[in-house]
Amino acid sequence: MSDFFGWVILLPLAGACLAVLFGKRAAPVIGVLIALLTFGAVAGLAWDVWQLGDQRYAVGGWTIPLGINLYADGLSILMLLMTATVGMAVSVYSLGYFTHSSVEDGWSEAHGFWPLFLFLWSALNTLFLSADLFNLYVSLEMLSSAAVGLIVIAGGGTALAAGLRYLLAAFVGSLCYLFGVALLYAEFGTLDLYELSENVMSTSAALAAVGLMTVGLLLKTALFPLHFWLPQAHTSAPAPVSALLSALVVKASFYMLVRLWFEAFPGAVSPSAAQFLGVLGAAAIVWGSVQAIAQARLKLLIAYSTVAQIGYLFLVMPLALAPLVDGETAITTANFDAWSGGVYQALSHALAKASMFLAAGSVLHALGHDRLSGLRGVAEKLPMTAAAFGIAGISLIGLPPSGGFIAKWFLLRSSVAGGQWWWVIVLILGGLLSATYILVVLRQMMLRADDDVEMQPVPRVMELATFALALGSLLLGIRSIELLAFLEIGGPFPPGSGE
Amino acid sequence: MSQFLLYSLASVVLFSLSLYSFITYAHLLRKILALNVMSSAVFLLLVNVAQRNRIDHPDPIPQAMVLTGIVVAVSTTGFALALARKIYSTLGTETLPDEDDLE
Amino acid sequence: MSQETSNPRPPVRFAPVRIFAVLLTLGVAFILGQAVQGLSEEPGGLTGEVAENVETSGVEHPVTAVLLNFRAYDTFLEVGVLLLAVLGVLAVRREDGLTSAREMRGSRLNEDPMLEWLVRLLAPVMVLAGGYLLWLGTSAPGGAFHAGSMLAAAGVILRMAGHPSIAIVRTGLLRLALLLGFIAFLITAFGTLLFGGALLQLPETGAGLVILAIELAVTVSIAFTLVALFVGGQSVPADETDEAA
Repeated sequence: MSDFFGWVILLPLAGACLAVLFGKRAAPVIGVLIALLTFGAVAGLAWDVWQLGDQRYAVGGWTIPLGINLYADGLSILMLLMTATVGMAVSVYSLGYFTHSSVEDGWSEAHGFWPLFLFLWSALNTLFLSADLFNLYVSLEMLSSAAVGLIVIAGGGTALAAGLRYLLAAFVGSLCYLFGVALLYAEFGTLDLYELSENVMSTSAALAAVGLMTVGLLLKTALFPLHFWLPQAHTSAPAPVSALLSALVVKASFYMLVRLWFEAFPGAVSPSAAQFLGVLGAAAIVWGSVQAIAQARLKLLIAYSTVAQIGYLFLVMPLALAPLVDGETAITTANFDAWSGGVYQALSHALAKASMFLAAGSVLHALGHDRLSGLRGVAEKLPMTAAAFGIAGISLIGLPPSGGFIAKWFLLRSSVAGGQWWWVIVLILGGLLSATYILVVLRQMMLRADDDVEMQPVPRVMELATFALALGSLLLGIRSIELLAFLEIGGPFPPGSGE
Repeated sequence: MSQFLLYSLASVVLFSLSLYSFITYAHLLRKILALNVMSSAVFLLLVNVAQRNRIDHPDPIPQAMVLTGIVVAVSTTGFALALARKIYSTLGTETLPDEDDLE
Repeated sequence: MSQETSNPRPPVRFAPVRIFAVLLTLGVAFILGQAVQGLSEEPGGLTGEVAENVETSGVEHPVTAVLLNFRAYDTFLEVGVLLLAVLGVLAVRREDGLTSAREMRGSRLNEDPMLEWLVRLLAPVMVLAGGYLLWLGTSAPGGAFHAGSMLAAAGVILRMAGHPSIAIVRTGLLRLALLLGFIAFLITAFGTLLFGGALLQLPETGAGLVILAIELAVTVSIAFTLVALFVGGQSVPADETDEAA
C-alpha cells in the first residue's frame, strides 16, 4: 500500500483550504506551490506503480466490501499525470491571467478561481484513484460543483446561463448514475468495482443499471446528442477554466464509463451496444467538426472541436470490447490497440485542447475579442501563442509526430485488424474536417496585421505555459513507448497483450 | 405484491415522472423541483433496499448513501437556486435563454 | 419569482419535445420496472458485516459507524461538495460575505411582538435540540448532519423573522465557520496518514472521541453553510439598493 495515495488526494484539498483562508494575496502562491507538490506526489505514485505493479489501497484500513478501496494501475496513473500536467500549466498561466482582471468591490475573479481550481484538481485525483461506485459518485459531484463554480466566476448573463444549464444537466446525469448504483447494490450487495467484476451476472437489473449509468455518464461527457450544454459552458468560462473543462473534466466521466464497461462488466455488455456508442462517436466527430468550421468566434470553434474530439474516445467501445467466445472473453491485439489508442487520444487531446484554449485566452487578452475575422496579425505580435496553436492543431488533426497521430494510428490499426473497417472512414474524415477548421484559424492569424489595431501586451507566463502544453502534446508522440508500457500494468487486459 | 416491490415500483414511477417534468417544463424552478423529486425517487429505492436487507436492524450502507445523497442534492439545489435568482435579476428571464421553442 | 405574467400557464416546450419526453418516460419506466421486478426479495447486502465491526468503530449506532469510520472518506468528500456549493454561491453573488446594507439597518423583530416572542422561544430550543441530536448520534439516529440541519433551521427562522442571523458574522469568521468541518476532516486525514497506518484509519482507542470532534466541527459548518445557501438564494443586494427609499 503506497503512501502516495494519501498525498495525491490530500495535497490539493489542503491547498484549496489554505486558498480559501488566506484568499487575496497568497492564493496564487499557494496555488502554484500545491501544484508542484501534487505533481511530485503523482510522480511518486507513478514510480511505485511502475516498480511494483498495480496497487490497491484500503482507506481507513477496512477491507472491501465494508470499506472503500483505491486502485492505481497504468490507466489511473496516466490520467493523474495528464491532470497534473494540465494543472501545472494552468496554474502558471493563471498567475498572469487573473492579475489583470478587474476588481469590483473587493471581489476579484482570482478570489474565486484558486480555491475552486484546487478543489477541481482534488476531485479529479480522487476520481481517478477510486474503485468504489459510490465514492465515484461523490467525486463526480465534487467535480461538477467545482466546474460550475469556475464557469460562473466570469459573471455576466451568458456565463450564468451556461453554468446553470451545465449544473442541471450534470445533476440529471448524476441521478441516473446513482439510480444505477442503487440497483447494483440491491442485486450484488457490494459497491466495489473489483468485487462486482467477480460476481457479475447479466440480470435485467444489472443491465438496466449499466444502461442507466451509461446514459448519465454520456450526458456528463457530452457525447452527441447529449452535448447541448458544452459549447456555451466551455466558451463563456474564463480561458484557463475552459482549458480545464475541455481537457480534464469531460475525461473524468469517460474514465468512469470505461471502468464500468471494461472492468466491472466485461462480459455483460453487448457488442451492439458498443457499436451504437461508436456510431454516436462518429456522429459527434462529424457534427462537432462541421459546427466548428461554421463558427465565427475562436472559443466557440474550439469548444465545438471538443465535441468532435470526444467522439474519437467512443470509438474505443466497439473496438476494444473483446467478444465473448464460448463464455470467455477472447482478447486480441486489436482490442489492446484500440485501448491504447483511446487512452492516448484522451491524453493528447487534453494537452492540445488546453493549449488551444490558453492561446485563445491570450488572444482575447491582447485584442479584447475573439472574432475570427479580427485575428489578423496574431502570428506577428504573439508568435509563441500562434505557434502553440499550430502545434496543438497538428495533434488534433493527427499528423505525425504528435500524440494525436499515435492515437489515431492505433485506432486505425485496430479497425483494420478487428475487421471493423468502417471506422477507418470516420477517422480519415475526422482528420480532414479538423484540418479545415484549424487551418482557417491559422490562416487568419498569419495575415498581416491592420495598422490601426491595438494589441495589449500579454504576460510572458501565459505564452510560456501555452507553448509548453503544445510541446507536451508533441512530446507525447515522440516518447510514446514508455507511456504505452504503463498501460500494460493492471487494467482490463492481461500483461503482454501489446506487441 | 410485496412491500419491497411496491416501493421499488413507486421509485421507478417517481423517477420517470420527474424526468418528464424536467424535460417538458422550461421554468427554472420547475426544473429544479423535478430534480429534487428525482433524487427522492433514488433515495426511496435505497431506503427500500435497506429495509429488505434487514437483520435485527436495516442495512446501514444504503442509509449512509441516502444521507450523503441528501447533502449533495441540497448543495446542488442551493447552488442552482442562487444561479436562477441571479439569472432572473441579470437577464430578467425565468427560463434558460436558448429554450425559445416554447408554447 | 415572477410578479405578473401575461401568460398564466407555465412555459412548456413545444409539441415534438413533449412527445419525445413522453416516449422517453414510458421507455425508462418500462425498463426500470422490469429491472426492479427482477430484484430478489431476500436480504443481501452488508448488514452483517457492519454489525460485526461496529464494536471497534468507536460508536454504537451502525449508520454513524459507516458514515464516520468505515466510509468516512465519502463523508469527507461530501463535506467538500457542501463547501464547494457555498463557494459557488459566494462567487455568483460576487461578494465575500453575506451582508447587505439593508440587512444591517435593523430587524423587524421590534415591530411584531408575536414574532419576537416566538423567535425568542424557538431559536434557543432549536439550538439545544441540535446539540442533543449531535450527542445522540453515537447510539441512535442522529449525528452531525441532523444537528447541523436543526441549527440551520434555527438560523433560517431568525432570518425570516428579520434578524440578520449569520449576516452579522464578519467575512473572515464566516469563511472559517464554513471551512471548520472540512478542516477537521483534513487534520484527521493528515494525522492518520502521518502517524497511523492508512488514510483515515482511526485508532481503536479514542476513535469515538475523534468522531465526536469531527462531528462537532461538521455540525457548525453545515449550519452556517445551509443558512448561507438560503441567504444566497434571496434577492441580490443590487435589487434591494434600487428599492431603498
